[in-house]
Amino acid sequence: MALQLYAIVRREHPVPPPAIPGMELPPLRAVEWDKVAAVVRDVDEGEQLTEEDAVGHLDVLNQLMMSGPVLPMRFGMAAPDDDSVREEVLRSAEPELLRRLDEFDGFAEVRMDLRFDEDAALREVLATDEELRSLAARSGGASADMDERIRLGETVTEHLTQWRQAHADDLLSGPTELAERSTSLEPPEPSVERRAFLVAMDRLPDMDDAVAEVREEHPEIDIEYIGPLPAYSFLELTLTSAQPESESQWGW
Amino acid sequence: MTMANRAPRPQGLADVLEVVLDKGIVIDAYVRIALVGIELLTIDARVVIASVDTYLRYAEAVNRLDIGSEQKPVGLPGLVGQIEHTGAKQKTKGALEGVKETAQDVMASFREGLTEQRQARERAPVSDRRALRRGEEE
Repeated sequence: MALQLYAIVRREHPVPPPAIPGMELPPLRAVEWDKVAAVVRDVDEGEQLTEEDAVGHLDVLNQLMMSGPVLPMRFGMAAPDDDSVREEVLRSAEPELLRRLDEFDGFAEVRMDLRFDEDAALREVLATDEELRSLAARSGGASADMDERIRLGETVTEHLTQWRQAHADDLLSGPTELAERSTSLEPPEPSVERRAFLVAMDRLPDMDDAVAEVREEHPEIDIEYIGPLPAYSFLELTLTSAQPESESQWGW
Repeated sequence: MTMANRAPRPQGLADVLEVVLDKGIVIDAYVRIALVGIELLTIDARVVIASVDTYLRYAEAVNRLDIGSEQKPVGLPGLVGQIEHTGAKQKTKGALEGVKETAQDVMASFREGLTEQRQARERAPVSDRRALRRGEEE
């Protein structure tokens, strides 16, 4: 027997979370220590996680979030048994976990993907960059070898990234002002700007309005808008190898 | 009401995986046991493929937009098999953090693959390449 870990919550957090019709969650239970708890699922040792489990992981976190602050575990974290979760995850880390739970209480993360028109963006980047144009002339032609072309593409990607981020800063000034914090994330491709915002739950409707406004003013940009998620992008936490008898060490 | 414009989670499986695998609390080696069955390295290889493919695509695009070219760049389909092969070999490492370390290896073998496959191929249309990146999204 082993445990798959989903999240850390306060001890009083309802686990499993209240059922939502039409949404099926894996069988969850809580492993508790003092004022904190880990949300876990029993799995067979050697069980292989699937892509459905990854989707299920996010669904669990989403539903847990409806009842209070949630610190998400990275998907795939597992422990051999309840005692090891108590000793190595909860007991040694409790003060920091409680501090983080307080920090994110009442807040959620929302994300936006801004998909720019690639050709238009590239034209603009090229138009404003003489050096890039001459590099393209040298390294983009039929005689250029693969390495040269990859390097050219890499340079173009860098310039496109700068262009995209500057534009996104401008376009997203409304949502950024509403958010407590915001950060730029690694995008799926260079013509997409992916941003995460930490926003107070009670300001979500304002955020929705702000996004609607951006969409209205810039119908040429495709915006994917998701949330509320646990504060993934604003929580960086590693529990470093805590031996059962020794003090734990922290790093983040 | 603008609520309908916000989705509870990303549409594509690849994006869901990025959310749950990229961040979150990490437990170091002692307590963690491997629960790896999902094709983590395949996902990683997919990312690498996407980035080299992207570079080549942009090299071609600026060429097309700026000075024009009749040359067809090397396409990906012939290379995918090689990456997957590498992925399967590395997967025996098993541990979650092994994944990122091997990205460079995958990249290296990808470059080798490129050199071996100089002959130009017909490039896959955009929709196909997106499908490739997003893999088994359906």
